[in-house]
Order: sequence, then structure tokens, then C-alpha cells
Amino acid sequence: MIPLDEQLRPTWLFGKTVHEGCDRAAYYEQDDFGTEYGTPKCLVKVGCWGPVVNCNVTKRGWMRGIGGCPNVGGICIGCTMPGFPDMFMPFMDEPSGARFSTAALTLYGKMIRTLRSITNSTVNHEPEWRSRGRKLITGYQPEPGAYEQLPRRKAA
Amino acid sequence: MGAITEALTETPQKKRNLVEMNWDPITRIVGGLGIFTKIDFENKQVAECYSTSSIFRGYSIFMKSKDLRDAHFITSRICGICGDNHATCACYAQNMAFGVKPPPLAEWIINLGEAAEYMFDHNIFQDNLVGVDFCERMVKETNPSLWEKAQRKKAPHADKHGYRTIADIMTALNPFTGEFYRETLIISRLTREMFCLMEGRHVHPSTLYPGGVGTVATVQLFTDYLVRLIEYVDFMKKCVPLHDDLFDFWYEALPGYEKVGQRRIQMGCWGSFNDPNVCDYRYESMSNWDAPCLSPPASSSMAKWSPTIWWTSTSAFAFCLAVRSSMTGRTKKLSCTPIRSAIQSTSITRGTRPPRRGRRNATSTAITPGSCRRAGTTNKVETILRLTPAAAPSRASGPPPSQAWWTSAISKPPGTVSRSTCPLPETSFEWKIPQWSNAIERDRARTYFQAYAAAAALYFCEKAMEELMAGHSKTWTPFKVPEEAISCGFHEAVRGVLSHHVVIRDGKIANYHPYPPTCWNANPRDIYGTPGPYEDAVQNTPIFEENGPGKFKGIDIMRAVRSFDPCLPCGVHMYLGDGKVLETRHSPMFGVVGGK
Repeated sequence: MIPLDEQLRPTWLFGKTVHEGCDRAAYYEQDDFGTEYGTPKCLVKVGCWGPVVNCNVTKRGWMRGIGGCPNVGGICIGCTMPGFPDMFMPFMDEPSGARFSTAALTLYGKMIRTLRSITNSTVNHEPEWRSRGRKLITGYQPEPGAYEQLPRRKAA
Repeated sequence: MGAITEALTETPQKKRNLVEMNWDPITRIVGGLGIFTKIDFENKQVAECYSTSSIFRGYSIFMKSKDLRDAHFITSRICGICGDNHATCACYAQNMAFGVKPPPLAEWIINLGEAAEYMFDHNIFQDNLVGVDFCERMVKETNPSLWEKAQRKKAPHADKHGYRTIADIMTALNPFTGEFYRETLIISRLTREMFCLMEGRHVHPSTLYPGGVGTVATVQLFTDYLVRLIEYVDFMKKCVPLHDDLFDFWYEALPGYEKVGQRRIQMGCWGSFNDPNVCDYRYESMSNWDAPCLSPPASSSMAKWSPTIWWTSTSAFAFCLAVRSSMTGRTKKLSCTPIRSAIQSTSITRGTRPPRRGRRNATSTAITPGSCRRAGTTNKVETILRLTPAAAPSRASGPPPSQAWWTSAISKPPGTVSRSTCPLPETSFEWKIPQWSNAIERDRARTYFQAYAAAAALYFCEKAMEELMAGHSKTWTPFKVPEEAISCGFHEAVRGVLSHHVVIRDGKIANYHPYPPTCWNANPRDIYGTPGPYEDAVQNTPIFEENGPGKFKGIDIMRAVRSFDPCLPCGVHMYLGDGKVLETRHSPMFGVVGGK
């Protein structure tokens, strides 16, 4: 028997929430929410119920890894849940709980986003010593003459 | 499943020795369709046919007082095969109600999704469901002499599809064991992937919204689609000649087979594949959308084929108004169309009542769109008509959607595809307008529509990429839900016309009616005794089956009915009028339970 949860759903499918497997969850963490459909950002503000719904569609896609729900721009409407659809309607409005949790996140998310963007920009640059040209700035000191004997690279 | 309905009484006829045969339920969709026939075995003909179905699903009831923006999410659950057609249609209706026009890119994405759906659904219908009625095992059971002929008959297009004789084709169509049957299953997975790329999930789209789509449009997205599409195009190069060979053989080997499922030519098509350049979702301009859309609305009720006379703007417009006016009921009157006087406001409000037990006929009549019964006509909708405008003489050349265009489109897969993935040469198909509206031609039209949808998808892909390259990457337009609105959406499901009709009051749904094709096709007799499309098609169908009453499978009747609808070949129970029960399975499980 495969492991089942209290609702008798297979845990491998429904053990985690949509949000836990969603590749847009990081946008949520960084307080970066889409206010329209068609963006690659988190959809919670436009009606996604992913954070509280049990389903792994975001991890496995819809079929052969293709498609899915919030991961490809479709709001989660909770269709795997016992409370579907009544508890989730109207689908395209922000879930009431999300308003609170996203508000609580604002300060942290904005700060994290700023800090990360700084670090991200830093690590997007090659270290100085890896620069082009014949001048070695790594600190390595070859024996006199050895460096000149190396085959010359063509000028870039 | 369904209850055995009381046997129908009729005036006794002296010369005919009629045996009553009933199939109920004939399907697992929409409650259950029953076919009640009286068969004249001596003259090998179906003497009478009545259909009955309880097409009550309650959507009109539980959509009430809901937010209209939920409509497509909910109504897509109507069907597990064509749910996305409903979702798309619901979005069309919402767009009109909200007065919103999606960005062109979104429209091309929706078209790509719907093209994938058509490719999927026709595909699975043809070779996984209808094919079973034409496969080796079935033919051996029902027409052993036909099987003998098929073994001797060389397939004219053997070089294209690789099956030497017609018998080889039939063997390849055997459920589960047949080679072509299995290939079709794999191909239909491919088309579902194409759909998922565009709309997230098949068949309940996740990224489809009023105002557009939530799909993030990238070059990669369309490339992924195109790669799969080309594989499908390649499959079509085998599939079309294979079906042509098979169907032509039936005419040749069983002279008179054109009479099977033949009915008077009366059909309609609401049109699909909206062109964003003209379609603005305003009710007033609806008549302008038709011509440019790739599968334009049409109707034909002529004695002979007359594809140039389409049901264009005016009548579609009038019908729409008629439905609108009848839906608004007593509280709001719309004036302007003569048809309206023929439609009483009560005709559709009746549909909101749940069915009463034991009154199946009453139910199906109440749900059927009133207009067609009141007018004394019965509509039938099918692929034949969806293709007809594209093949019409006036469209033989010129910009899309001309016939010349689509034959060239299918023949030119992009040069980037290597020979190993695309081994078949350039091919062009021409669908000729058939002489009859019968079972074989309905089936054949589907095969050609598969190719047509693939060609259309190539075009949509190009258009979508053009938008993207021009920097128009937005796929959604914001809107507000109005306090009051009346709107409609017209679309094509794979089995026929589909329309959704909405009335909003106080910002909520006051009335919602989805009209799926089965309402039209399975329409029972009207008050004037005009038979519905299924009844009309089965009635007077000659019987070619070699089995007598004792082992009768009703294969010719099944072929006639299933040529209308992909969902129908699911399960069949057959009852003999004298109380003797014959049981048979005309389902995809045929190969497994075999000969039961």
C-alpha cells in the first residue's frame, strides 16, 4: 500500500503544497507579486491559492513535465481540495488570507530582494584577476623569460 | 446505468416484420443517450429510430449568483475531452460581458491551444474510437465476407502509409494490439503536450482567463510547440491517405454504403479561431468577425451542397439575439429580430428545472435550445461544414483561410527539421466536398480537419512569433466586472457547435446557459415530428451486417451515430424488444474483453 494522508490521498502527490513545489515561490518570498496575468511573477495577488493547497502539479508539470498551474501562469484554484470549488470562489480574487501574510512579508521581502540584487550583481562579474590582456595580476611570478616563451594568443 | 425506457408503441404495419432493438445507454456522456430502433431484417433496413437522452447537468442552476469570472473554470468541467472548448467559449462570453479585448498575442495563443485540442480530439476519435468500428476484429464478427475482400484488396496509397492491403489497415486499427492504434495514442499525447504549452493543462486550462492568457510567451514556448506540431504534420501525411483508402474501400466493397447514416443536408457551424485583427468581442460588430476567422461560421440547409451560401453574420446574429432575448426572460426585453417572435421567453427558462424521474424524453426536450424546435428545424453540426468554407470555390485562392493556403501550409514543413524527424516528402491534400452527408463522409471530414488544424496551427505560430518579435509580449488586458451585462460566446467544440450565454445582474450571474453540441445533435423529435439529427441519420439506414437478429451487433447503426460524436463510442447495451437481452461492448475495451 502506498502511503496515504488523512484524506486518503497519496502523499507523494498531495503531501506537499503547490507553493512548496512552485518555481515562482521565490518571487513571493521577495515580495514581488504580479498584479496582472502573463508575468513570470508570483500569482497570489491575482488569485492563486497555491500556498495552502495540497498538490504537486508545480513539481511534475501537467504531463511529461510540461504545463501545470502557477508555474506556467495559471492561478491555483484548489481543484484537488475537499473544499473545492466553493471555498475558493471567486477564483480570480486574492485569497483573503494572502492579504495578511503578504502584508506581513512586505518589509522582509523588500529588504531581501534589495540585498540579493546587490549580491547577484556582484557575483555576475568575473574576478578582476581573470581579465584579458598580457598583464598578470594574479600575483603569480613566473621565472624571467618563461612567460615570453608561451605560445601567444591571437589578439582578440 | 440508464433505466430501460418503455418500449415505444407504433401503428402496426402488415408487410413489415419489425424487430425492436434498443441501445440504452449508448454513451456515458451527459446522462445517457439511448437509441431505440425498429429493424426490418427482411428488407435489411432500420425502419424507425427514436433517440432519447437526459442532457441535464445543472450548470444553469449552480452557475447562478456566482462571479462570472469563474465561469470558464467551472464550465470546463463539463467534459473530460473537450473541457477546454467550454472554457474558451466561456471566456469569449466573458470578454463580451466585460467589454475587454485580449492582446493579439493572447488570441494567437488561444488559437494554438484550440488547434492542438482539435488535433488531439479528432485524432483519438478517429483511430482509437471510430477505428474500432472498422477494425479487423469487428469486421470479422459482423461482415466476414467483407474481411475476405479486404485481404485481397491492395491499398491504393500503400506507398504513403505502409500497409499493403486494406486488411492490413484493419488489423492495424485493432484496439491495443493494432500498430496504428498505438501510434495514434502516442501522437495524441503529443498534441496534449502542445495544448499544455499554450494553456497550462489539458483539458481544464489553467492559464486561460477572460482578457487573455497567463502564459508567458517566449520564443522557446513556440519552438517547443512547433517541434511537436511538425511531428504531427508528418503523422498526417500517413493518416489521411490511410483513412481515404479505408473509407473508399467501404463504398467499393459494399455498394450502397453511402446510405448508412445519410440524412438531409442541414447543418450549422459557429466558427472558431478568432482573428484578433477583427474580433473585438463587441456584440455589435459580431458579424464582421466571421469572414476572416480560419474556421468561419456557416450553415447549409440546401438540398444540394452549396457551400458558398454560408450562414454568415445575419443569421448567426439573429440566432444569438434570439437566445439572448429568450434568456433575459420577462425582466428584460430586447427588440430587433424577427426570430425573436418565434422564440418564447419561456423556452429556455424551462431548462433550469432539474429533470423529473422517469421522464427522460421530457428532460431532453426541455434542455434543447428552443429556437431549433420552434422553427421546426433540426440542426446538425459537424466537421464537414467546418471544412466546407475552406474548400469553397470563392476561397480557392487568396489570403488565409483559402484552400490554396492550407494545402500549401501543410506541404511545407520548415526547413530546419532534419530528414530523420521528418522522413516523408512534401504532401498536399485536397478535401473534396462530398456528395452526401453520411457516416463515412462525416468520418472522412474529421481526418481532413486534423490536417487543416495542423496547417492552421503553423499559421498561428508564425503570427504569434511576429507579435513577439515586434515586442508585443503582453498576453492579458485588465477589465472590470460590470453590474449589468448580457453576452454570448460562440465556438466550435470538436463534435459541433458550442455556445455560452450569460446574463449578469448586480455583478453576479443571473442566468448562464452552455449549449453543447449534443443538445443539437441528440435532439429528439420536435413537436412537428421532425426527427433529430441522430434519428434522421439512423432512420432508413440500410443494414449491411451479416448477423441476423440473434447475434445482431448493430454496427451500421453504431457507425452512423458515432460519426457525429467522438464521445459516443463508449459502451453499448442492446436490448431486444421481446425481452431478450443482447449485450455488447462497442468500446475501446473491445480488444480486451473481446467478442463479449
